[in-house]
Amino acid sequence: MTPLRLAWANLVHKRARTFIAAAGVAFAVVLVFMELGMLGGVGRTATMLYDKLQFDLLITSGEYLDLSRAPEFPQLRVEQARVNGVKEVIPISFGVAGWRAPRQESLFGTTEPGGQLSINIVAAPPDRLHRAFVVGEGGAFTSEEEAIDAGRKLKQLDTFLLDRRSKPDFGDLDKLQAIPPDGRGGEAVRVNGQRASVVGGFDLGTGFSWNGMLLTSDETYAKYAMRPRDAVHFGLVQLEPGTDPVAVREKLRRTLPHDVKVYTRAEINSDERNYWLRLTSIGQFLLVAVILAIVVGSIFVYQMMAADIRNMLPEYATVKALGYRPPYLTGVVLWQAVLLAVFGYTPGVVAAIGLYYLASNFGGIPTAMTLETAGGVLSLTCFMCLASGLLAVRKVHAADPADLF
Amino acid sequence: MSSNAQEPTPPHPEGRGEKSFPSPFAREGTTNSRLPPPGQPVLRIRGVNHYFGTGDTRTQVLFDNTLEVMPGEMVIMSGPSGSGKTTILTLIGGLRTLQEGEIEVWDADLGDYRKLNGVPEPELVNVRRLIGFIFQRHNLFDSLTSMQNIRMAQRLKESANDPDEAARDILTYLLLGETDIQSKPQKSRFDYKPAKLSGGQRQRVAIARALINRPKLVLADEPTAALDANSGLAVVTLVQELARERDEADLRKLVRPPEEAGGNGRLAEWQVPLLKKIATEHGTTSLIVTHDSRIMNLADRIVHMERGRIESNVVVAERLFVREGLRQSPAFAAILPEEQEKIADSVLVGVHPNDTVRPDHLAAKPGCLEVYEPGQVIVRQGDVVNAESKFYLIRRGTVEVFREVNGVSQTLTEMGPGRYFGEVAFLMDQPRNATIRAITRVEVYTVNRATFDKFRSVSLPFIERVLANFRSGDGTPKS
Repeated sequence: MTPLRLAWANLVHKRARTFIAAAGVAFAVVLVFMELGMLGGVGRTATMLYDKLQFDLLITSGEYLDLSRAPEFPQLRVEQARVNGVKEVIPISFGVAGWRAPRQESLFGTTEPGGQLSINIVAAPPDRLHRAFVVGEGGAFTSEEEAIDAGRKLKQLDTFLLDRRSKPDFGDLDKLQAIPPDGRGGEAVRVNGQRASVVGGFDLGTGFSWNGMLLTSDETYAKYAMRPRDAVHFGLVQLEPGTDPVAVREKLRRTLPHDVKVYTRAEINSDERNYWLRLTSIGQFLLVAVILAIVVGSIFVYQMMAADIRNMLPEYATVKALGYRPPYLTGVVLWQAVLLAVFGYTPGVVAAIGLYYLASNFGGIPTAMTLETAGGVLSLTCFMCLASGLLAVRKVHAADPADLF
Repeated sequence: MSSNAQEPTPPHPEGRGEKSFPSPFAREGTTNSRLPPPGQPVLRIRGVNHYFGTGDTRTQVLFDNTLEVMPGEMVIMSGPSGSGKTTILTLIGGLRTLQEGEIEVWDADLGDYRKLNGVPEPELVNVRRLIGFIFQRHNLFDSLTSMQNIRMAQRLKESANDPDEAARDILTYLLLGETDIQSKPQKSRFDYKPAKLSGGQRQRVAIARALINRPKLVLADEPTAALDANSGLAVVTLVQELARERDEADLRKLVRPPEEAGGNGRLAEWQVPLLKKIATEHGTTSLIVTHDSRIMNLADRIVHMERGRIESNVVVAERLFVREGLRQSPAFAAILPEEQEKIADSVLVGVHPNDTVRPDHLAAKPGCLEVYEPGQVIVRQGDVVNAESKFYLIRRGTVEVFREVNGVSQTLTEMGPGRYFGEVAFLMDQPRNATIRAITRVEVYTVNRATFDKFRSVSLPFIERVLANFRSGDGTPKS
């Protein structure tokens, strides 16, 4: 009877108890998955826009802190950035505007149009849209043609594309497209109180940073945001094939005045994540929540295992009396912990996948079950159960075989 | 010299001198290569003290206990609750750490004794593996079947035999297999978990687990308390067979009809060959705490404890041997039976009469036993009886009795174990009338004059009649 077989027999024998313990582990697993999912959502929020933009280097204002606090810089820097190795630099503007809430129909009734919703706007030269945004699978546009076509539409002033993944509060894309610029039946598209038209959609996604996103031309943006035309928020630097981004970055840093910063993609992603995960309250909260979930899970598993061991002390004492060495008993308890981890993890991960689906599709939180997350939580669950087992195993070693007589 | 020949006494009509007591040692015709050297115990306890608690609450529960148990002995531990029986069992079994004194357990695989003093808890595991524990509470694994519970013990010991077959055999023998006591088919309990077994069945599984590895030492606490008569007999017979091989014919006497068996239980015909198949090795020693008279009557040694001390350590065969020897002597026959028993018990050395005593046995009970080498004179004709004079009961060896008459030495007889000499000189207060000399190495129990006189006074009238017989006849006591 190996420790694994004995551990298995113990768990299978006490099915109700094992079910409760596994449910406890599953609860802890779901907790950890959800907190990690949220945390992942924060991380994805941080780089969501950048992931959809094409660049090798990114020029920002010298006072850039994060996406939500990205000051403008003179568009002249974009022109100055054309050094050797640079193929193209595309100016991008990014800001916030007011969006007139459309009519909402739900189970609880209909909400009449009106009222302001906050919406983000990203702006790019319409003829370079297909080079500014990632196209293809997982990109902002499904194909280059779609991007070129969208750019063509945006050349007309006062036109916008709405992110298809914007929250439903911003309205249905098809219905919005059907609304003429002057409005119809009380319905009208208004951006910062000005008439506008939705001429199509693109794919970006929502997160903790914004609930909806508009894409427009730099000209329309300047008009609606009332920003000067010669100021932009980002410069997307695209390099000639085979060029070392770091070398060009250094060259740009030397060339450009200090009112701008130059990042590689890895640097900007890292800085954004760092900001969101370490410096924002939501990131810190979710980190603490993950730790709490692990602690709560560990305490629960420990309690279950300790109670189980307490009930089985005479049996463990008998094993000692038979002449088994302490490592055998440790093995039994730790295998029991690992099996409990697996029993709890399996329903936990299934529940988490379902909850992720609900969160990303109905909650607008960009959660996603990745292999890394799934594997990480499995390892964490095993660690949590093993740590609880190691704490509980002290009770096993305290089992006194002399008490058997 | 007295005309009444006081020595020797005649052979007992029943051939008392030829009587031999069954030895617990399985020395011949059995597989016993794993036993300690001849004459050496399987368990040795010296000066064991034990304490519970610490500081002000430290309480001594065992006091200077010394005991030796020989291979194959069935030892019954008796005594009231709290007398220390269980504590001493747990110390022997390595279930507690020995605090003071010495305990040595024979390790057959090591070919030497394992000492328990100064052994840290993790290393006590090696001692535990030598021992089969039978607990009053079965302590089976609830999650495992009967077979699996036994496999837990088997896993600790490599065996060339098929472990499943061995486990099935012992469970079947203990009436948990596919055949019942009436040789009728029944559903086996091999794959039953403890929750589906009765108390007695669980206890039998626990016993099977304890004995499956053929341990050389079994420690048991009320092993038959939960068992019916037939199961109890099966268990006791198995323990006995593991101790020493018995004739199949002898075992078949236990195969008897229910009405004849009564409360003593019986074996089924098919159990006898199965028992022989299971018990291929012998020499197992068992220390049993029990109040079950079925087992107590079979004990080779009874150790009685009181208030943490071994108050008596009696080898049953030795006690019977000495009592029988004293009873045959007219001098002691005159004494009340309980007084006889007191005298007998006072000279016991705790060694089976078939076994040679060692110098340490003599040192432990001075004045109870003497050893003479071949040719050595034990009693010399003409010696005057005084306070130092003794009565002798031959334990082992052979002596010759001769008398000098007119300068001519006449050999009167030879005497062996169970025979006695020296009492007539005491009774008649006359010098020794014959010389007793050892032919072989001789061991004799001795009763000194003071003890003899003390009990003589109790039974004086009867002794006077005995003396009258001596004086009127040829010195041979008349029965």
